[in-house]
Amino acid sequence: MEHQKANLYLKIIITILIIVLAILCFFLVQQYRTISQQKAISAERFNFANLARHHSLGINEINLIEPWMTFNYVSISYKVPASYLQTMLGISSSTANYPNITINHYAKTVGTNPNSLVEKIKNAVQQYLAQPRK
Amino acid sequence: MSNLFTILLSFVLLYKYVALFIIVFLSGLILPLPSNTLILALGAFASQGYMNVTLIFIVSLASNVLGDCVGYALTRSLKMRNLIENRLKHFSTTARLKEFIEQYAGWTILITRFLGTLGVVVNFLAGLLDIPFQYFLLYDTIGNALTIACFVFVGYGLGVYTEAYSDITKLLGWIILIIILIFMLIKMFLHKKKKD
Repeated sequence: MEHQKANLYLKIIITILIIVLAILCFFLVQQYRTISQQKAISAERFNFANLARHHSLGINEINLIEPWMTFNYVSISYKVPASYLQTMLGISSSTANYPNITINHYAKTVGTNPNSLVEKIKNAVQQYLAQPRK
Repeated sequence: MSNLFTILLSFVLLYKYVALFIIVFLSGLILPLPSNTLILALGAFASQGYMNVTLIFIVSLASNVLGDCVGYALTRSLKMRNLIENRLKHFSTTARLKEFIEQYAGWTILITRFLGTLGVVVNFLAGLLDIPFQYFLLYDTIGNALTIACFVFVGYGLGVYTEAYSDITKLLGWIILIIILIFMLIKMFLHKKKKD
């Protein structure tokens, strides 16, 4: 009787695990489809010859700017001069450690909402990237 | 993205390799920090030109190995050993884990470098079991070098899509774990049936 009970419990646990496995595989396929659409996984990105080349971010990646980032990081990754951001956002030249401060920290210093500051940064970066380059 | 992870990212953006060293060292020693995911993100930062891939690899490797060695040394010291042995002897699984590690020390150390917190537990057990330091250091260094190289390379290649990729790796990890559990339970079920 005890053996039969133990076997039954094992069967139930195995069944539940198989169902959970099926659900996780479904989510995995969904995630893979999303990444495939974004062309994130491609052989070219992992080509050793390309590894020396930097992939700077462009207009299509502006939405990736987050309050935890520093102005220095935004400047380097989007190839936008830190001085341009300083002028466009009205950041005082006496701001300590600029551009090596986080957007969050600067927003708290000047008493503004970090998310609205991020929107202003996105607009500034977008305007700069939209300018014709020589 | 979790709050803790964004704090760690800000810390690294501000202080770069010094921050990386501190975070990875503490993660290797005892703290449950997402150091592998962080290294993945730093690979992405390097792809954008913010950091250097080689320096990320060297600093991560050095700090990870150092953290692991300190964890190993802590349990190797006499006072810690008595304290831990007295606590752990009540758990039967610890005795089985001890047996397993003694038999497959090298592979256990190497493979658990990929498994985050489990690696920290193995560091402590390796010290407790008097695994020779040179042996521990060799497998720890090889395991860490492989893990860090994988994460940096993948992070560099995926760039801004790293966050989406880390969701896939978490899902894959759970799927592999559940497959292993199902396999073990089926084996147990068949063994019981045979006995009956």
